[in-house]
Amino acid sequence: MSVQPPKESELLAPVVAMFDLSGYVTVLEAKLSRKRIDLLFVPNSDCHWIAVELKVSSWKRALWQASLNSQLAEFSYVALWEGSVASALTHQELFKSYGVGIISVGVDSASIVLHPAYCPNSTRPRQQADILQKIAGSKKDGHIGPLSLLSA
Amino acid sequence: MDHYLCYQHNVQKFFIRHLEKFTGIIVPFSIASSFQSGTFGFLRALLAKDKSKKFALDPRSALFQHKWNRANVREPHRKLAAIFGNPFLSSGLDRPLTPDDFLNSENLSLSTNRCIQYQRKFRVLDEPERKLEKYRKLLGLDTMPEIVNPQRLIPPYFQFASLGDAWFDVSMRCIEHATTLVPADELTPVVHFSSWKGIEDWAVISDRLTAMGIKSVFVYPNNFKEHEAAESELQKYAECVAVLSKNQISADALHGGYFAILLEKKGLRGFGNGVGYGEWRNSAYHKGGTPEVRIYIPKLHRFLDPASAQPIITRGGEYFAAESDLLTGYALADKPLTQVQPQEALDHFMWCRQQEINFVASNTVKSLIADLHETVEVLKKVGPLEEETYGRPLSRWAATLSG
Repeated sequence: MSVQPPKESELLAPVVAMFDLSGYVTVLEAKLSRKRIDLLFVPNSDCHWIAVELKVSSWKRALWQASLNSQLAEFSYVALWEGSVASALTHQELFKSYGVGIISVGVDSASIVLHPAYCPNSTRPRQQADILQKIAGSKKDGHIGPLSLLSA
Repeated sequence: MDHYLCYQHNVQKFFIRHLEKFTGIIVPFSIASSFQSGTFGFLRALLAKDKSKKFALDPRSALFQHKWNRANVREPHRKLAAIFGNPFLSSGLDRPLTPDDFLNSENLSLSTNRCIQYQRKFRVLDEPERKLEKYRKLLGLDTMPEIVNPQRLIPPYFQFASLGDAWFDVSMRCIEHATTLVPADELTPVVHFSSWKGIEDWAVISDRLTAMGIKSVFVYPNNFKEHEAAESELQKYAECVAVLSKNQISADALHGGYFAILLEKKGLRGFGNGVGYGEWRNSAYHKGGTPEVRIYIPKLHRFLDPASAQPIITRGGEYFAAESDLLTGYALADKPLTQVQPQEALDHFMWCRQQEINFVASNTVKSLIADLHETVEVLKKVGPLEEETYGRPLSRWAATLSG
């Protein structure tokens, strides 16, 4: 019996649960110019940033977005519904060429099936500083604006 | 090649600063009617700085044939409809106009009369001296002469799907009636159609225009995006230009980008765009607003939002940044493009556009094709997704140009 694919928003909880997020702030739909990063884990200390692009299918669109996310996050993933993962994995060399990892998401759990690669990026520190400034501003103003914070 | 800039009242200083980078101005009726004093004052002063600059007021009448939320009719819509009179005013604010609204030839001639008269009167508006004074000073003029620049007059126009579409006939009748009001060689009608695929034979349009004595047109495929167009559509575009050119009708693209510039080689006389946008336009779009910052990447001949532009500059390196002071400056300083300010992005775009026009004018078709192919080869090294997304349109342009 085939399982009905979930809505994209339903991928969120299993992915968040998969990461050990102690020491991270979780940001939903972090704004990166005109785009939004579905899920951004911002470390409180000197750890790596993690970005996740959620997609039920359309692995290529997810990869494209995740490759853009890597300008901000040291590690960038696409999280796909488990039914779409096999198709993405047949193109894993493409994912590797962009350093993007793959997370397979089931009904109530998620797991990494392809690890991302760390890609250095000279503009990343300043982009991260911009986001941190926005987070600080959102907390100070008492409104979140484009950034929605979840308790980690 | 003529380069028209579409006027918006919130970028006046930009028009002054880049005065030498465009040859004409197109002012939408909605702007002219909603901000009449400011638009007229600014236009009069700007045109006095360069009396060779052409100008036109774009009726954008097709808006009223489209479906949009008429519960949200705003004052600019009312002012726009008022210019044309009925049926725009009596029906067009409540429902989409239909060709049947113009079966009564009185309606058609009345709307056309009012549309043309509005344009003719606009150049000689009687605005209070004190209002004009502001713009005289802004442009650094000693006096404020009357407008003597060449004006292109545009009859009402509507979007048609094919030559059998009743809207085609309505548009042609509007042009015909306009020729009874002003000399035909002062008219530059807008030929506005749904898609390239819908027009099988441009000779039919060309012959009808020639019979009216029309010497120039603005070609306006609705919402036509050069980068997304199939090669067959691009071929149709090139054929259209060739047919019109052969019949001594000079064609300008009302909205266009680099592909339109390339079509100079096929006979296109000019093209228009907005300040940092406007390479395509959906005539059903009824809202305004300032676009978000986008960065023009000259080698890709397209705007990208800063997040998408960054990897191209980071991974593509010198090839994509070298031609631009802005992109080079940001790359060398490791500054992310998300920090580009709106004004910087617009200035950069105008500079790029001028470079593109000069580049096409000074190169052969062969070398323009080679330049496009070269970029595609570089994109292949940047990444397969970049090659697919940004390279394929360039390949299609090159193929069309070589045909």
